[in-house]
Amino acid sequence: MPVVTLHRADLEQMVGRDTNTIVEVLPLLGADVECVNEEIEVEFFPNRPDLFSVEGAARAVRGILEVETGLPHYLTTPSGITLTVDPSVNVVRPYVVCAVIRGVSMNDRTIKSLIELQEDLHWGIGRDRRKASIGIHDFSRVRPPFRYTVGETPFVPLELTDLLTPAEILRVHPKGKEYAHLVGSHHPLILDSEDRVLSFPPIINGELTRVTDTTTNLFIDVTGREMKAIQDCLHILVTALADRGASIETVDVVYHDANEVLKTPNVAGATHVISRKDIEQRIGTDLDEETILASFAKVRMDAQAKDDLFSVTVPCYRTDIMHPVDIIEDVAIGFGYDRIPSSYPKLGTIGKRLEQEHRATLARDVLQGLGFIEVITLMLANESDEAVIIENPILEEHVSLRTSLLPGLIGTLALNQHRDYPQMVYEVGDVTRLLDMSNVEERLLCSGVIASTEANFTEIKRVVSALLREFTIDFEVVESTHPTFIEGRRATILAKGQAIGTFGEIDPDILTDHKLVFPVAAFELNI
Amino acid sequence: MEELSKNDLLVLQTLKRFKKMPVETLAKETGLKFEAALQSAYFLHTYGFAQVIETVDTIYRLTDEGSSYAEKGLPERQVHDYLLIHGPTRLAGLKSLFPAVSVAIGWLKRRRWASFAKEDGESLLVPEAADEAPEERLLREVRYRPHFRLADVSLEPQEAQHALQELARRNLVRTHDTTAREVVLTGKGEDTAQFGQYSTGRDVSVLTSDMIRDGTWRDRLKPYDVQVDAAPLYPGKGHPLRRLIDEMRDIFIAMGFAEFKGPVVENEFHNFDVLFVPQDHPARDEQDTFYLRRPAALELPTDLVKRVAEAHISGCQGSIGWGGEFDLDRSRRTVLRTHTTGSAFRYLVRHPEPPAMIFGIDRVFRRESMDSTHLPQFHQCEGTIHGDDLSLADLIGVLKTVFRRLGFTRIRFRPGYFPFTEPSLEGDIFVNGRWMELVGAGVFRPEVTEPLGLKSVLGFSIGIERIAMLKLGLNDIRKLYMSDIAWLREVPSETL
Repeated sequence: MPVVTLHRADLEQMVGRDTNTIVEVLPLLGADVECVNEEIEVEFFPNRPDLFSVEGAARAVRGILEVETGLPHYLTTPSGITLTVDPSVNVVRPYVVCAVIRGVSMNDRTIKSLIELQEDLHWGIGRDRRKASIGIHDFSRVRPPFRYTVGETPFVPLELTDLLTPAEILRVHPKGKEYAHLVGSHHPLILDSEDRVLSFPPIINGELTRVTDTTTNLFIDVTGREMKAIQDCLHILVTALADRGASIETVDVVYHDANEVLKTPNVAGATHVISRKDIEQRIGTDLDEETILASFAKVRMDAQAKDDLFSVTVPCYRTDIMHPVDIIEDVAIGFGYDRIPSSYPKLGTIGKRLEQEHRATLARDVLQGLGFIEVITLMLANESDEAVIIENPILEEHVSLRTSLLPGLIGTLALNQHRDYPQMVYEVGDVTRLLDMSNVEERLLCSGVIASTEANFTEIKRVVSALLREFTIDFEVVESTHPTFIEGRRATILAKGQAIGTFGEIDPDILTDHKLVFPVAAFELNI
Repeated sequence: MEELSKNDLLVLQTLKRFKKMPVETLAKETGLKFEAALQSAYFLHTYGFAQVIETVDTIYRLTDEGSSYAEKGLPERQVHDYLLIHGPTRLAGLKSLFPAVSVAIGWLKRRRWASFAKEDGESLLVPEAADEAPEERLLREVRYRPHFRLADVSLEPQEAQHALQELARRNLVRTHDTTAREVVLTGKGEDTAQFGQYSTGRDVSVLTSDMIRDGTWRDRLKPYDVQVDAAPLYPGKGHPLRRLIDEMRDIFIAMGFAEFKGPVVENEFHNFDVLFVPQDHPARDEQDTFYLRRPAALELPTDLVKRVAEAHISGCQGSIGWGGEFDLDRSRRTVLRTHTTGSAFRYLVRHPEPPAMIFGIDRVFRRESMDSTHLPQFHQCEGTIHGDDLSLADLIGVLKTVFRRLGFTRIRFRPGYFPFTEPSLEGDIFVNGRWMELVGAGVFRPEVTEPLGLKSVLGFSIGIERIAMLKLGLNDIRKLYMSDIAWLREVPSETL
């Protein structure tokens, strides 16, 4: 989850309250405060990218603390600027939205925090720039109108000094190499009226429009493959900048092939209608109209009530609202989770344990009665035959799921050579087995090992017999070929003609591999 | 009644005549060897017929060097005498005269019998007053004795002790301890000497079945020293994590929950899609989830897939959905389940009629490197409630009950986020002076429940290992899965 760094003085100034008060209410917004110094590190939920900046966090905290409540109002004026979308981008990155921001005052800190917000949005909404990527430009360096098209116009990318074509950038620039897979052979560019490159989305901006501490006006582009994602990014960015006192101007984005002009950004929030009954029912407590309206105000929404129906305007930056239930959660947050009374569902169900657990418990009771100690080992193993195999393992010894519990038990003995003998340990647990390429069998096994100077076939046979007697399973024993055990000292357990397990003395070569020096007798049983 | 052996009786009868005597005399009078007499004396002592009184006698003897110094004076005295006669002398000059000059100089300094001066850059030894030292006096008094005791010396005992220690340290005196034993007859011995018969009392330590049968154990069984340590014994027992799982299972069953189980090998459909986790969600990255090479894909339930895909693309019942595309190949791809939430919905799809309260405690996998707080596999306790019109308040009520039964009393709930629940919450307990997150929970989104044909569903999952570590006081999660047998033997079952 994203950890956002909020500058303490900035936050205090924007909220209008001291840090202690702020830090206390942040968890009520679902934030985890990790560290409080000059900079406050806060972990926000990924569904709330609007909180990934000091401006956005301050706006929400002001609501919860009731410093300022209700819908924040943002005004836009038309800039008169157009950006024309050439159909050539359709194959690679079809959508773009833009805005002009005037009257920003930039310093090192605000530039840094703007870049951080941009990166967090690339991750949170953009899914690492695939769905959306953002370009922020010094507007004074370029001349509208703008074009969004596929092209090969060379330009100087950020961080470099040479004039490079987009194809060259993909080969040599670190960002080019990292994101080349998102564009392939089609290179989308945003150009100004003099064919100067502002941006090569989603790879890199031009050095030409780099934002510096003298920048006062910004041009912002957001490109991507989904209209919602790019609009979400734009709304979060422009409202954060407006909270700093800048003004927002719209850009006419002209889609040629659609014969359509989109005026962006559109910062008017969406309106939803939601009933009091739905709110009360989902939260589980009676709430009067006044309380609900106050709750909406605290989470920065405007609501009008009429006949137990609420008409709610949600701010444009709340990109997480998909359904009325999302709004109901905000009512609960505004109301306060700590104020929600607890009830208990009256369903009259009957508790029941799994049949399989009965058998597992019986096996455990018997083995513990015989003096075995239970261990629990990881299901991850290093097996190949009949095993489920992991595509992206981390460790060599964890490339598959186990098909047997015995390796884990022998591993346990290997870890405990310096402990007192005799050692008797067992595990009851699940294993998986690949039946064919699209079928996996999962089943419960019970295995035990005895390591001591006297561990032998007879001793483990007595254990197996005791266990099966308790399970009332009649069985017979035939010689086995199981490679884990010594030839001639290994047996297969048959019940009704079916093999249900094996036991014997572990092959000394296996013991040596684990540096074990005492004999080990072991069994494994389906239960 | 037992009879005394011949030797013991002889010793006892001899003793009766003399009342008390040294063991040496006893041996002479009985004609027994000294060792035999000593053994009898101790036997009689053990049974209270006599008392052996031991006195330690320390004898000192001068070494050859000690004798020589007793004759000629200690090296420091010899040098001092020379200085008195010849006046201040250069060190270099002394070396040829006295072989032990370095020892002598050390002692001269220590006793302040001489001081150092400089003459033409060389050290000069100047004599000072030198009264007789206690060691010297002692040597003088004993110089003609082959051996002596402390009492033979006229020094105060403490001063003599100290002087002897110094001499012993200088290897001029050796000590030799001898133990003198005197045997004294007791009243019981007086009586027994007459007939030589006595009762041993209790002399048998192992209770035999013969003794039980004939009742002789009553007189003969020896009492034990009850404070002697017994070697530790360890029972066969369950793993602490298992005990916690069993405790939680009991809690849920008592609350009316039925247990469920689902597969660890899942396709993305059941692990993610069903839960309305968008196909491009970061949790579905190769980074965080174990994907499988074989089986690489698992077939999809056709009708369900259609409804779930619709919810993803365009939402349902007033939702806008995630938009974009829904990739069926992606849905078929196999993973090691990252949670048990998907397994709960497998159960609900099979049993779609409410009400249902179900729980499952089982293994889940995350693609994490192992360290003291992370494992690639751990246990989750999943609880799911299906009914009409269930609410956040119901969820809070259930969780409070579970936590209280687990012994946690300070609990708080705050907003949480999961892609599949709305509202969502996280539950913390207050332990060791801080809030610790223990549960993630929520009311399932309509985009989850609607396509599956379910009413309202509540869900929560509790991390088991965290509770186990808390209760066991562990700070390394690996200890739960890489078992140290000594730890398992020692950790009291009562802690969990």
